[in-house]
Parts: sequence; C-alpha cells; structure tokens
Amino acid sequence: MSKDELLTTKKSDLQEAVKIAEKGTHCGMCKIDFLGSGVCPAGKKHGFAAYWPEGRMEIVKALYSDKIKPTEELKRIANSCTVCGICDKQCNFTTHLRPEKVANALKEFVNKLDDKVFEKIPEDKTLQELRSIVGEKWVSNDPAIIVSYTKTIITPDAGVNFYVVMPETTEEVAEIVKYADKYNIPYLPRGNGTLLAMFIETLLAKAVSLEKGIIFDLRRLKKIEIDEDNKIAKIGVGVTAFALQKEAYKHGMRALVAEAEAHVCVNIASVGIISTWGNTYGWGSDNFTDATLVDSKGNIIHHSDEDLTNPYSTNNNFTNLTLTPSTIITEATVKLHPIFEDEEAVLVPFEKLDDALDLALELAKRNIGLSLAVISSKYLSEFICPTNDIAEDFEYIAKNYLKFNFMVDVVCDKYDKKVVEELADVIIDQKMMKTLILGSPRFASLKESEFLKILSEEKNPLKAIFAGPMKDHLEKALDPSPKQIAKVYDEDLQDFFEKVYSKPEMTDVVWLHAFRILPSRLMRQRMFMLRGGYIVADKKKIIELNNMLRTIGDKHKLSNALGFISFLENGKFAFVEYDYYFNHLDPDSHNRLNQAIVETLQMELKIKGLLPIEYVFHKGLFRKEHLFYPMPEGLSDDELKILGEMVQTVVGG
Amino acid sequence: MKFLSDEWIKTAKEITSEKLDPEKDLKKATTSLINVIDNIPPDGKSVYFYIAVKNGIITEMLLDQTGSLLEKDAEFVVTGNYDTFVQILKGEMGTLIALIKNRVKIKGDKVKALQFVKPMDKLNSCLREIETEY
Repeated sequence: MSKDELLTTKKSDLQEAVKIAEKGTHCGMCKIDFLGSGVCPAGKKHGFAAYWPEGRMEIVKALYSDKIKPTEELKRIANSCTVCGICDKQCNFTTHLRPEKVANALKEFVNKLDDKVFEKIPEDKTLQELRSIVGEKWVSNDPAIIVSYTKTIITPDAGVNFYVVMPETTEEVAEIVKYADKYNIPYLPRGNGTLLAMFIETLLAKAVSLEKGIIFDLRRLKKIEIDEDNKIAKIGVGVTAFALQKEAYKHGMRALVAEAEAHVCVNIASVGIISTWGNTYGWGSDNFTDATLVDSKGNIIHHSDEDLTNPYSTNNNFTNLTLTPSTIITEATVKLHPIFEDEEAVLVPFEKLDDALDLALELAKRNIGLSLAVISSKYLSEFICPTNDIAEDFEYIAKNYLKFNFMVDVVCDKYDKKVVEELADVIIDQKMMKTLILGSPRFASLKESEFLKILSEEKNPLKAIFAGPMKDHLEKALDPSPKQIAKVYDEDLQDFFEKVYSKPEMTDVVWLHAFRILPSRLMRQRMFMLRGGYIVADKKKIIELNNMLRTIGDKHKLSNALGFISFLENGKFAFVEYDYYFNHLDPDSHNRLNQAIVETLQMELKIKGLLPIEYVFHKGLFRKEHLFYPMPEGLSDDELKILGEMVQTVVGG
Repeated sequence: MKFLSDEWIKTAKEITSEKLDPEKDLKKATTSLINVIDNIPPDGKSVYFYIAVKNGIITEMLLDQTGSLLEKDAEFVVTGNYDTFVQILKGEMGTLIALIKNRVKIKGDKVKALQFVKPMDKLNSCLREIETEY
C-alpha cells in the first residue's frame, strides 16, 4: 500500500471529528482559565495555536481535506494531548461542543500511521534567521502548525507558505520586522484571533488576512505590572482581558476591557475598547497612558516619546479606512479604575426601544451608571442561557409573554441606584438576575405554559411578574440552583458545572460585566457579524439606524437583532451594535451576509452623524475627539460611487 | 526582461501606448505619480518610477535611483516594498487592497487618488503582458 493509499484508508476515522471541528468558530476561550478548570496543558507549554483545542480542530479538517500531510511535528502535536478533559469543560460552557473527541481522534489517527508517512519539513534561511532571534522552539514553518491559524489570520485557501513566530519581547518583534522588511516578507500580528475569525468569514477576508509570510503570534508577551499608587497597569500584548481584570481585581481596581479572551493591547490598537463601561471610562486613548509600538522599519516607538508627532491624531474621512495595522503594538500602560463596595447591577425591562432609550439617554446625560447600556432580550438570553435551544425559548418567552424586548442595563453605586429606581416602573435586581441565570432552563421550558399566556394578557406583564406578588412565585417555580442548571450538560460534566455555578461570581452580574466571559456564547456553533457604529446620541437617529439594519437583515433572510447601545461623553454619542447571525458552514448564508454588509454600509454612509464600525478599525490608539468632533457628514453621491468601487475591488480581491 | 530595466521601461511605454484606451481605460485622467519602490533585492536600494498622464495618454515614464524625480512634484507619491509592487504587477494583489492593508502609502489627495485606482489597475494589467523577470 502506498503512503497516499494508507492515509486515505485511515482518514475515514476522522469523519466524526471533522463534524465537530467544522462547528468550531474560534472564540478563543480555551486559552483562558475562566472556569477555574485550568487550561489545556499542551497549549500552555507549547504556545502555538496547533497545541490548543481550536488549532487541533483546524488540523483535523486540513488532514481530512488533504490540505496537509502528516509531519513529525503533527505527531508531537497529536501526542501532546493528555486527554485531561479541560477543553470539554471550557468549550461546553461556551459553545456546547466536546473538542476532546477531536483531539482523541487526531491522536488515534496519527498513532495508527506507519512511521514512514511522517515527513520532516526542511529548514530554510528565513526559518534559521527567525530561530536566531526568538529561539528554536518559538518559530515554525511546519504545515501542521501553519494550518492551525486558518480562519484566525489566514484564509482556508491560503496554502501553508507561512512562518509562525512567537516573540517574547518588543526587541525580538523589532528584529523580526527589520528582517521581514529587508527581505520583502509580508507579515501580520495576531492576538487571540477572535475578531479576525469573524471577518475572515465575510467579503473582507482578503483585506484582513495574510496571504503569505510571517504570522506574529504575540501570546508570549505576557507581562502584567500593577502600579497601585498610580492606578495603572503595564501589560504586554499577550495579556488577555480576563488576565488583566483578574490581576486588577486582586488590587481592588478594575480595567476597561473587551471580551474575556481578547488581548487588551490588541483591542487598544484595533477598535479601541468598546464596552458598556464606556459611560464612565471612555474609549480609545482615554484608557491608556503609554503604548509601545514597532513600526514597519522595525523602529520601537513609545507614545510618550517627546519627539513623536502627535500620536493621538486621526480623522474620520472614508479615505482613512484601513483594515490591517500599520504598526505592531507590544505593550501598553492602561488606566485602572476604583471599585465601589456598593456596586450593583440593575436592569430595567422595556417593550419598546423608544422607551428604553428615553431612560438610558437621561441616565447617560446625567452621568449615572458606571456601566450603562440598552441591551436586547436576544443578548440577555444568549449570554445567560447554557445552550442555543434554551436561549431561543427564553427569548421567545421574554418577547411574546412578558413583552420584554429591551432592557436598560446599569451597574451603579447606591446613590445612582436610587435615581434609577425613581425613574423606572419595574427593575430586575441582582437577586432576580441570579434566579434567571440559574433558572434559565426551567424558565425556557415554560414556552407552552398557560400561566404565561394568561400573564401576557395583563396590561403590564413585566410589572406583574417582576414587581408584583408574582415575583416570589416565579422564584419558587424556577427552583434556581447550580444543580438545576447543571442538568442541561452532558452527564459526565454535570458535577463540574454544578461546582462552577456554585461560585458566587457566576451569578454576580457586576462581575460578569467586568470579566465578560459570556459574550463568546454568541459564537456558539454559528457566527455573527456586527454592524452599526458610533452615532450622535439622538433617539430618532438611533431608532432609524436600528430599523434600517433590521430591514436589511430581514431582506437577506439573516437572523438579526440589536446587540447593545452604549454611551460616551455624557450621552452625546452612542455606540450601536446590531448583529447578523449566520451559519458559517452554509455558502448561501455567507452570500446573503456579504450582500447585507455592502448594503448596510452604503446606507450607513449616507447618515449624517454616524461613524460606521468599519471606520473605527485600527483607530483605537487615537483620541476619540478626532473622530467625533465633528461627526462626519453623510457621503456625497460622488464619494459613495468611489466607495462603491472600493468595495467592489475589495470583494474581488 | 528584467523588471525596471531600461528595456522594460521602453517596452512598458510601447505596450501602454498601444493597448490602453485613453478614455475607456485611463478615464481621460490627467495626473502624475511617483512609485517609490523600496528594498529592491539584492542590495535593498530604492527606485523611483515616475508616470505622467495627460487626458488619458501616458506622456512620461521615467526611472531613477537617486531620488531626483521627486523634484518633479508629482501629484501622488506611492511608497511600498519591492515585493508589494511585484504582487500588484503580477495581479496577486489589487492596488486598493495594498492600500487598505498598509502595504503602500499614498501622499496626495486621497479622494482623488482613489479615483485613479481603477485606471491604475488597468495600467498594471497592461504591464503584466510584458514577460518580466522579477
């Protein structure tokens, strides 16, 4: 039997694993210890994406589709899995997948192969040079390593003509850039790859990805130094939001961060840190005091360098659109903020966006709420429910029976809480939120309940259930407990999840806002693409934008919903995130999404006072004042025509 | 023939004059630009490639290694690495993608520059017909 015949025979064993792997969406949560389970020991030790659960998924797909052949490195990767089960626990919480089956299948497949099939990948000059900079262990041109970066920095059709390098210091990054520049080698840096994973599924794939050259995996720059006196933290680009927040909390402070798995420096340099906490902590350069960057010639730049031309300056013209970074950020000094003992999350439910905005804008203008946003019932149900099915039924009940489509979500101190209580008819407090989180499976099971149908006919069902005597009945009926929610997980994981949900933080809404471990559930076996952007905080404009995005989503048959609306500058500006959900395994779904992206962008650009999300890319290092004051006028017909041609060119590659 | 050699420039002038339609392809544009091509192997030197267009007709194509062409005060200066220009000329990457990916930098009126992206892509397609050794 030839090598190829041998491989074909054995490959059928991977079929089941491929089915699981295809559902993976690269949320990147497996790289942070957000459940106290620890993280994949092989990934922690070896670093490259290939050694983490998400990388193994890409490898299995690549082997199955003949994109790569077995190599000696592949054998090491497969056998590095200790079958400890940590990946199953983490991934099941977020995506409801069981990636250990993939790792197991890969291990079994590799170990059934004859030694003669494993190829040794030859070294070349570039590999040797990169090794001399970062050490032998931290650079590779092995196809098994390379393919593990598919969909998080390279496209599936990009081949394997790459090097992956994992530098440990800014100086190493600079040396690599100098080398790449000298020899005309393209390169692109990567944090955890989650945002790239989203964009690579769209028409922007070619513009955001790397076509060949050097992939910078920046995970090894992990420095965190907290300066308690000055309330700042110096962090390396490999530090995740979760890691920084954990460290800041130990010192009684909080950082403004994006989703738990995101790298803080990368967020700063890319889209800024868009958060509900922006109401108090701001956006863009508001949150860092210094940054270290490596420019395209390999020079190390500090934002604090006296001879640097204003590094915070930018503009919001459409010609300033850029989809890849011009520098590599390696470090930042970020501000830390105080935590108050009396902080509490208060949620005010509404049927209409109009009414929710009235309250939220009033609070934003008066600077009430450390964190403030309007969020949709879609977000609430996706975040707190442990599976997609439960989330769907939860949302159905919220919308159809309780008339609960939106809520104003405030994290506040006791003084602000009094104001919110005075202004709101009904509030959902911390205790009720705990009930809804732990009781979400049972709540979702009430979809056919006669009681809820009768309740929905009440004049104000929200008030009846959250502010009246029904409140206690609901709490009793849901029987909220860690044991109850753990039952929705596979039997072998139930004990683990009972312990997880017994931890106070898992039902502490303030903690959940600060650590942001739940948003990755939006990528639970399907993908989403965000639309919207920054807009002057005018209620009519926000509602028009929301309606336009909904109409286009519906037209292209995409599941769609408002995500959240947060506020900046004392309620002068709002950030609107509207999401289109799509099946990443269905080409038709991709096509419809791409059409919707082009159409929404064309519409958004006509709106005076709106800065579409695309304009914010790679503007996070800059002062928001340069982007918002003044907000852009809508584009002229001539400008729209140019932009239309630009989009066509980008789509065409 | 060798990319950016005298022979290549001569052929480029001939082929563009023969094959590009001033109205259809070059949109009757009047402009000038200098491509600053950095890091040319093997010694990493730079080359300045000047192109002037009047009413859609290419009137000048000049090459220089000293930077003296910068004195011609072209409307646009496009700077990038040798490999990027090669990728663009080979059709592996569009001019606009190169711009969005920060592979080339443009000095000059960017709105106007974007209007020339399509004509420039036509020019590059035409130059692609030259059998070039990079």
